[in-house]
Amino acid sequence: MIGVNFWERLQRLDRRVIFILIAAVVAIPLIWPPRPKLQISPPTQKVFDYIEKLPPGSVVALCFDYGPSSAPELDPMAYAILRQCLTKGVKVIVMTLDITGKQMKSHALNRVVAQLEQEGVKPVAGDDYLDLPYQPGYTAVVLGMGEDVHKVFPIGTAGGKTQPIGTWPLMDRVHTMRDLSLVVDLASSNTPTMWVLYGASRFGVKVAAGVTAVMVMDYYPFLQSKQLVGLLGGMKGAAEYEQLLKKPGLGMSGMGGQKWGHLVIIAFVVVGNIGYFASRRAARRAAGAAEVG
Amino acid sequence: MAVAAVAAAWGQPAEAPGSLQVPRELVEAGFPVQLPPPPADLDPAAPAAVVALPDTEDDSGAGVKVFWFPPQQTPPGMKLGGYRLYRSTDGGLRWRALPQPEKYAADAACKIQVVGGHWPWKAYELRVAALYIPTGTPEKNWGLQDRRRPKRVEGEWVTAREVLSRVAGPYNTRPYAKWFDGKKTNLLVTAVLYCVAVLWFLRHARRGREMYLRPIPGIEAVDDAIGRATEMGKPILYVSGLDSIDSVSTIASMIVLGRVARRTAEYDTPLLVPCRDPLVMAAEREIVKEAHLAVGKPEAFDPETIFYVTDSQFGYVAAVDGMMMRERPAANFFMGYFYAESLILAETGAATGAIQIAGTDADTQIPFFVTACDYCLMGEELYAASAYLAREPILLAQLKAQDVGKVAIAAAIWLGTTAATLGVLGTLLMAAQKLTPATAWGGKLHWFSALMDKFLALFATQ
Amino acid sequence: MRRTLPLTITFLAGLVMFAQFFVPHKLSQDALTYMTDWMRIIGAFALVLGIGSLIQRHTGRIRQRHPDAAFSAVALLCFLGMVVLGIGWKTEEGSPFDWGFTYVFMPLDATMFSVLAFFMASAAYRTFRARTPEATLLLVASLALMFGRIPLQRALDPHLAGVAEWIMTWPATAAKRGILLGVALGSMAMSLRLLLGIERSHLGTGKE
Repeated sequence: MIGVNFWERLQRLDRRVIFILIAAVVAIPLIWPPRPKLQISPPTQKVFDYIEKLPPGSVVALCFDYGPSSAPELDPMAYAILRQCLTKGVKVIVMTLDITGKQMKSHALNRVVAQLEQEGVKPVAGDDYLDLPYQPGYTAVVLGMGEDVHKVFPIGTAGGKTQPIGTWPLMDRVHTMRDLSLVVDLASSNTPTMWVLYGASRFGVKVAAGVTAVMVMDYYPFLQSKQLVGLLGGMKGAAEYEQLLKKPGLGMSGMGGQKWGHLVIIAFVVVGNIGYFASRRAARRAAGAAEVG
Repeated sequence: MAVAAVAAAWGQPAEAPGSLQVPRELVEAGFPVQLPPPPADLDPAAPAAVVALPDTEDDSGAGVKVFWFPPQQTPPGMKLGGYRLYRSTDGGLRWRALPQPEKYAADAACKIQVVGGHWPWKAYELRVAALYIPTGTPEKNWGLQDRRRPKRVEGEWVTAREVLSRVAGPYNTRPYAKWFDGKKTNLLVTAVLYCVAVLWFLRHARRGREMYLRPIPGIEAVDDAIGRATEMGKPILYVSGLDSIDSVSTIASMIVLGRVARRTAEYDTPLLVPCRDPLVMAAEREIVKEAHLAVGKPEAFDPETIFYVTDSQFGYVAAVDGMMMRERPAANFFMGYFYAESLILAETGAATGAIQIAGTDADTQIPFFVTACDYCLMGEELYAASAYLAREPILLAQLKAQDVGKVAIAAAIWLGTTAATLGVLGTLLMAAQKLTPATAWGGKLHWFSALMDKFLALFATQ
Repeated sequence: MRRTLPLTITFLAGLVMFAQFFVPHKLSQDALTYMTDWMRIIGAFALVLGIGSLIQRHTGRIRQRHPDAAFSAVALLCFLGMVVLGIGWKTEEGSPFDWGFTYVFMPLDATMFSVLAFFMASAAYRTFRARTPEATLLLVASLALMFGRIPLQRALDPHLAGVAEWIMTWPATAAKRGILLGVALGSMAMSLRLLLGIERSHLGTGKE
C-alpha cells in the first residue's frame, strides 16, 4: 500500500524529473510523427475560408512579425498560407515590421516557392509574389502604407533580383493599403493590435492574425467584434490549417509532442492533487489521533 | 428609355449588359442621364466625359472620385490595356501621373477611381489616359514604366501608347474636408467627463481630505524586499519590462524604479537594472542618478549598473537569467510589460531563492507571475503603484477618479446589455406573435426595439 | 527650465495628438504621419546609445578582468563578427550573415523559448492544487482547456474541443475584457498625470 510519505515526496518532486519526462515525450514523437485528425477550430476555419473565397488576382500581404524563437509555431502557418495563396492564384506580398522577421520572411517565401516549383506550380517572381524590405517604425510603416505603399517601400525583391518597387508588375495593383484584399499578421508581439487599430479601423483593410499559443487570448476580443477576420493560434492552429489544405507539414508533425506533453502535464497535475488530498487526510487523521491521545 | 437614348448617342447596342449606366453620384451631381455627344475634335481613342467629384466618404477631404467612359475606338493593332490618371496643380502646365490600381467599379461603361492626397485649399485638374498595348501581348508583361518605353516582345520592339482625355470637368474638383469626426463624439464626451472627474478629485485632494485605498500586498512588500536584500548584502535586480519608452507600463515601471532606487541609495544596496531598450536605459540612468542625489549620495551612483543588454527578446532573457544565477540577487522586481518570457524570468528567480515582486498590465502573463512570484501587481495596480508608494494626495485623487470611471463603465455595460436584451426580446416577441409594425402592439414593440438600437448606437465608435 | 521645457513639450504634444484623433482633416492625418516618422528617426538614434552602452560595459569588464570577462569577450566577438559579416557580405539568403542567423541565432533563440515549456510544466505541477473552491474551478477549467487543445480529444469526447472553445470565447474573454478596461482607465489616468506634469519622476527631476 502506498504510504503517505510517498505522496508527500511526490508533491516535492525534483523539477528535473519533470523536465526529463517532458523532454522525452516531446522529442520521441518528432522521430515518429503521428498524423492525427484534428477538430478545426472556428477562428482557423474563418481565415482559411476567407482566403479560399478570394478571386485570383487578389493581393494578400503576409507580415512576418516574429523572430526565430517563435518560428516553430508561426513558420508552419506562414508556409501553409503562402502555399494556399500561390496555388490558387492569389498574389502575395511578404513584409515585416520586426527586424528579426527579415530573414524569416525570405526563408519562408523562398522555401515555399521552391517546393511549389518542384510540384509543377510555377509562381512568377514579381508578379505572383514579392518580398518587401524591412522598414523600421511599426506604426509609421502601417500609416504610410495607408497613404502610399510605394513611398514606404522604395524597392522590392523577387527571384533573387532587387528592383525599384514600381518596376514589379504586382505593385501595379497595390498602391495603398486599401488595394490589399487581406493582411495576415503572423506575430509574437502585439503588432496585430496595430494592424487592427490603423489598418482595419482607419483604412478599412481586412486583417487576420496568426499568433503564438500564449497570445491567443489577447485577440479573442478582436475576433468577437469582427475586427479580425480570423485567428490562428499556435502550432495547433498551424496544424489545423495544414489539415484544411490537405498538406501536412511542420505543424502537424509537432502535434505528437504537443499531445504527449499535455498529457504528461495533466498526469502530473492529477497525481499532485491526489497526493495533496492524501497528505491532507493523513494530517487530519494525525491531528485527530493526537487530540484523542 | 434613358439607357436606349444614351446607347444611341454612343452608337452601341442597348442590350449590352450593364453598359451605359450613369452612376447615381453623377446623376445627383447634375450630370445628364443621357450622355452628351462626344466633341468632334476629341480623339476617339481617348476616354470621354471625364468628371471629378469630391469623395464624400473621405472625411480627410483628400479624396476625389474620377468618373470616365471608355473610348469609342481602339487604334489598329492595339488593345486597351488600362487607364492612367494625371493630375496638375498649376493650371495644366505640368501633369503628374497618379497611382493606378486596376480595380474599377463593376459597371462596364463608367469607370470610377478614388484619388487621394488632395489639399482642400488647392484646385486640381485631372485627366485620364487610355493605355494601349500591342495586340497579342499579355497584359502582365507590361509594368508601369514599360508603358512608356519600347519593349522587346517576340523579337520585335513594340511601344505602348497613351491617349489623353480632356481635363475633367465641368464640376468642381476642390475637395472638402471635415474638421471634426462626428462618429467619435461619444469618445470625446467620455474623455472630457473623465478629465473633469480627475480634476474634481484633485480639487478635493488639495483640500486635504483623507482618501481610503485598499491595501495592495505587492506594494507593501517593496520595502520589505529592499530591507531583506540589504540585510543579506546581496543586490536587487530590477527589470522594467520589455516594451519601449512610449509604453505607459514602462513609464509606470520607471516611476516605481525611482522609489526603489531612492531606498537602495539610502541603504547602499547594489541595484542592477538590465535594459532592453536604449531609450529606457538612458531615462532610467537619470532616474537612479537623481535618486542618489536626492538622498545626498551622488558619489555612490554607478551608471554601469543600468545597462543595455540586447534588443532580442530571448537574448535579453538569457542574459538576465544568467545574471540571476551568477549574482544571486536577494530581491527581484519585474515591473512593466512582458511577453512570453515572464515565466522563464520568474521561475529562474524562484530557483535562486529571491523574493520576487512582479507588476504587469500584460494580462496573459499575470497568471505566470502569480504562480512563480511572491507578490504580483495586476493590471492597473502597476499604474497605481507610484501613487501608493508616494502617498501624495494629488496622485491618490487620480486613483479615485479611475474608480469612478470604472463604476461608470460598469453602469454603461449594464445599461447596454439590458437595452440589447430588451431590444432582441421585443423583436422575438413580434416574430413569435406574428405582429407587424402596422398593428398596435407590433408598432409599440417595433418602436421600443428601435429605441434600444438608438441607445446602443450612442456607444458605437464606428 | 530643465524641468519646465520637457513638461511643456509633453503637454503640447499630448494635446496635439489628442486633438488629432478627432480631426479627420488631411492636415491632421499628415501631422500624425510626420510625428510617427520622427519616432522612427529617434528610435534609430537610440540604437547608437544602446550599442555604446553594450561596448562600454563589456570592454570594461574585460579590462578589469572581471570573473565573467569570458562571457563579455564572447558577446563582443559575436556582436562585432555579425556587424562585419553583415556589412561586408550583405544579409541576403546564402550570405555568411544569413548562415550565422540561421544556424546560430535561430537555434539559440528557439531554445530559450522552448525552456518555457519545461518551466510551465513544473509551474503547473506546483500550482494546480484544489486548495480552495476557486482553485478547484481553475483546475477544472485548465484541464478542460488542455484536453480541448490536443488531438486526443476525438477519441475521448468530440465535445471537449467545443468546451475548450467556449471557455476561451466567453468566460476567459470576459475576464480579459475586465482587466483590459481597468488597464485602459489606468493608462488614461497615467497619461493624464504625465501630460499635466503631475507625475515627473520619469524625467529624473521629480520631487519625492
